[in-house]
Amino acid sequence: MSILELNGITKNFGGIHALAGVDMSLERGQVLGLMGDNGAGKSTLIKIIAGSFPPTSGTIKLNEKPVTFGRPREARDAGIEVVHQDLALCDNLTAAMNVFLGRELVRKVGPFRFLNRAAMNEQSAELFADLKSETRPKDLVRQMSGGQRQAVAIARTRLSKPDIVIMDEPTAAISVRQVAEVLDLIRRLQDAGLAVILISHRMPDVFSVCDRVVVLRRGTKVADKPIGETSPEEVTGLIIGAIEAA
Amino acid sequence: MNKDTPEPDNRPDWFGFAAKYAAPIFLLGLVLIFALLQPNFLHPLNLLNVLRQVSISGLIAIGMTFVILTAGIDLSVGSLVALAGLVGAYVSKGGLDNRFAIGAEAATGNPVIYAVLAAVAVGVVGGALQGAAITRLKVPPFVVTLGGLSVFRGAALLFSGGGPISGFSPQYTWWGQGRIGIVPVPVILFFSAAIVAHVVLKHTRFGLHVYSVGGNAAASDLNGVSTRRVTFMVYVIVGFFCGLASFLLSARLNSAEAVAGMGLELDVIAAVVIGGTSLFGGVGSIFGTVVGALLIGVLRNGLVLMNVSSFVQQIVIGLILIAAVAFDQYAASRSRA
Amino acid sequence: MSKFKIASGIVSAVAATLISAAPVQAQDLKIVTSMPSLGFPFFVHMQNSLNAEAEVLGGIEVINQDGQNSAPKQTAELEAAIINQVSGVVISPLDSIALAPGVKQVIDAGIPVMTIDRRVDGVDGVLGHVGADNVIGGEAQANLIIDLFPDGATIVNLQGQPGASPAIDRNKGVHNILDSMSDKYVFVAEQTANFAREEGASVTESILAGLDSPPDVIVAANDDMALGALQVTQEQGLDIVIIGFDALPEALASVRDGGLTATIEQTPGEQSRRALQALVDHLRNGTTPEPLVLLEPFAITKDNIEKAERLSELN
Repeated sequence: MSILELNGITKNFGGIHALAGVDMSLERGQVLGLMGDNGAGKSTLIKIIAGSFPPTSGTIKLNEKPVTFGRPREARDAGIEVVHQDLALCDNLTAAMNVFLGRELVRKVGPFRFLNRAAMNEQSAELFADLKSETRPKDLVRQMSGGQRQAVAIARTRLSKPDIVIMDEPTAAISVRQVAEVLDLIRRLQDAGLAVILISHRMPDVFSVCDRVVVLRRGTKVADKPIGETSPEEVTGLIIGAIEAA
Repeated sequence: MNKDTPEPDNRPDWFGFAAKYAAPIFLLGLVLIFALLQPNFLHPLNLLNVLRQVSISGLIAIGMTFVILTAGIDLSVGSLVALAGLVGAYVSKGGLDNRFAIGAEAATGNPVIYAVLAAVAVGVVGGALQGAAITRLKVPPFVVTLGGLSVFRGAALLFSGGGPISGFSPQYTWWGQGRIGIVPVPVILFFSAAIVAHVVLKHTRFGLHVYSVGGNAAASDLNGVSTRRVTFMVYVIVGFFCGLASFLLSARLNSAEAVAGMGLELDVIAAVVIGGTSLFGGVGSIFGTVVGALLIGVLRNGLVLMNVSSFVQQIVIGLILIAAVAFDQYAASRSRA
Repeated sequence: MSKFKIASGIVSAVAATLISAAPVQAQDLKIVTSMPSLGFPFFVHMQNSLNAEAEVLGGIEVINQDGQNSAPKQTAELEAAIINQVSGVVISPLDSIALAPGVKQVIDAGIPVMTIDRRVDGVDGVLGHVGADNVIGGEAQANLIIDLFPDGATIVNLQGQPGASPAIDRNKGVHNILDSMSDKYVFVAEQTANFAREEGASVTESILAGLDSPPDVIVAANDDMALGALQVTQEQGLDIVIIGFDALPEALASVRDGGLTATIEQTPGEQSRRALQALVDHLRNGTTPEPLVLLEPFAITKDNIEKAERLSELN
C-alpha cells in the first residue's frame, strides 16, 4: 500500500509552468531518488509535498486519504518532515536545542513554563545514539562537522515519528567520509520503516541507497523505475534530455 | 564546514575562558586599580552611588539585550524615555496647569501608580509601533528606530511645549531617590529586572526563540518559530524598559524633560556590546549586560574621583567599546577555526 | 614580551601624570567646578575664569567637572565630589530643576555650594548665587531693536534648542518687551536653529526664501546662530541688523568689523570670579555672602565693545 500518492500535480507561477501533471507514489520503507537538472521542478514538487504552497491542480493522498496543506506546519503534523538543503540549523545553539527548536519540552512551575533542558538533552542523546552518530547534545552546532550537522537535522525529523522524510541535497557540501555517514543515516531511517525522498545531484549516492529513481525534466516526469532496472548512464541521459523518456 | 570531526581537545582552554569572562575580569581589574589609586572609591556610599547611576541606563540595556540578540538595534530609546517620562509626569500632576509646582501642590494630581502605568504604556506602545514597522513593513530596525529617535523626540517636545514638567510628590520621587535599607530603590529594580530577564532568556521557549531568531531567522521560521512575533516582542520589551526607566529618571531628577535621555542610546548599546552581546545576534547574556553597564559606571566614577578630564573619559570609554568588539571578533574567529 | 613592555610603559606614564598632578604647595581647599557641558565655549570660558581666579586666590586645588550635557552625569559627578570630601562646589547646573536633587545631596553632606549662571530650584541652603538673568538678556536684545528702529521693524527670531532653559528664557525676554508693541514690531518668522551655526545658516536661508521682503532684524538666541545667519545675509548681499547672544570672541570680532550689529554680554567671567571669591571667603573666614547677585546683561555694539569681557582673546 502506498503511503504517499500524487495525482496530476500541476503548478503554474504566473505564465511559467513549473510542474505539468506529475504522478508519483511512495511506499513504506522505500527510498526514492528524485533527480533532475536545475529548474526541472524538483524543488517545486518538494515544496508542494511539504506544504510550502498548494498545487495549482492535482491531488495529494496520504495513507490513501486526500490532504491539503496550507502551511509547512500542517504537513509536519501529518507526518512529513523535511531536511532542508541548508539544514535550517541555528549555529549559536546546542545540538539538543536545534533538535527541539519549535517543539521544546517544558516543565510547568505554577503558572510558568520553563524549558526542560535535561529532558531535551537526554532525548537528543538517544536520537543520536539511534542514528549511530557521535554528536553530543550539549555541543554548539557552530563547532560541528558537516556529518554531525546532518545528524542534528535528521534527528530533528525523528521527533514527530513521521512517515515520510524528504532530504534536499544532503550530500552536496560535505566531504567523502561524511557522505558515507549521511547515507548510513538514510539506511537507518529506512530500517525504521520510513519512506524517504532523496533529492540529489550525485549519481553514486542515489545508486547506493535508493530503491527507485524518479527523473523530472521541464516539469514532467520522464522516468520512474526500480534502481536495478536502470543505470547511471541512462539516468544522466534522461536528465539532460538525450533520452526522451524511459 | 568541510572538515572532519575534530578530535576532542582536553587541554584547558585558557583563551576560551578569558574570552568568555573578559568583561567580568576587566571589571574586577578596574575595581582593583581604582581601589588602589583612590581609596575613596571603595567607600560603600560611593559603590551604591555607582550602582544607582548605572541602574537607569542598565534597565534599558536589559531590554536592548533582547533586541540585539535578534540582530536588531534600537536607536530610539533616549527619545522614548523623554516622551514616556513626560507623559508619566503629566499624569502624576493631573495636567499641565501646575507643571512647575514644587512642594505641597506637587502632592495633588493622580496616584503614582497611574504615572508608572502611563509611562510604561507609552514605552510599550512606542516599542510596539516600531516592532510592527519592522515586522510588517519590512523596514530594517536601524532605519525604523532612527526614525523613532526623531519622531519620539519631536512628540516629546510637542507634548510639553518644549519645557519640563517638574516637582513631584514624595511618593513619586521616592522611586528615584529613596532607599530600602541602604540600597537605592532603582538599584533594587535594576537587579530584580536583570534576574527576571535572565530567567526569561535562558529558561523559557520565548528566550530560546530570541536566540534562534538572532542565530538564523530563516531556520527558525522553517522550524515553526514565529520569527515575526519574536521580533515584534523584543521591541515591546525594550519599550517597556524605556517606560520604566523614564519614570525612575524623572523621580530621580524630580523633573521630566523633553531633552532628557539625549545620547542615552549610545550608553545603552555600549553596555550591551561591552558585555559581550554580539551585534550580529544570537550570542550574549543579561549577565554580560549587567557587567557592561557596571563597567561603564565604574570607569566613569573612578575617572571622576581621580579628577581625570571629561574629554579623556570619553576617549577611554570609546576605546574600550572598540576593544570589546574587536576581542569578541577575535574570539569568534578562534572558535570557528 | 614587547607588548608587556609597552603596557607597563603606559601604566607608568599614567601613574607619573597622576602623581605630577598632585598638589605641590600647601593647599587648604579642594574646590569642585561643575560645568553643564564643556562642549560649549561659553562654559569653557567660565571654567577658565574660575581656574584663573583660584590661581589668584592661592592655596586651592581645583577639580574641574563636566556634566557632558546630561543631568544624570552631572549629578553622578556631584556624588563623586561628596565621596572625595571636597571643601566646596561651584556649579552651573545644566537644568535648574533636574540638578536640584544632586545639589541637595551635596548640601546635606555639609559641603557649601555656590551656583553661577543658572540657579537650582527648590533647594534650601545654597550658599549663594551669582548669575545673569537670561530673560533680562533677551529683553536687552529687544530694547536694542527698539533703539535702532523706533518706528517699528520686521523681525526674524532664531530660537535655541527646544526645551533648553536658556533658549526658553532668552526667547521669553525678547517677547516680554516686543509683544506689547506688536503693532510696530512684527515677528515675520520664528524658528529654532538648535544653537548651531550650520542650522542658523540653513534656517535663515529658508526663511529668507519664504519672505516677500527681507526683514529688518534677525535676533538670535546665541552667537553661533547669529554668525550662521550673517554668513547667509552676506552671501545674498543683504544688509540686515543681526543680534547675537553670549559675546563670544568670534562674535565680538564680527561686531568690531561691522558684521554682527550686537551681541549680549552676560559677564560669565565676572560671575565666576565673584562666586569663587564668595565661596573661598566663606570657607576661610566664615563670612556669609549675599544670597543673590544678579549681574545685568547688556548689549555690546561697536560703540561699547571695550566693555566686552573676552575682548582680550581677540588678536
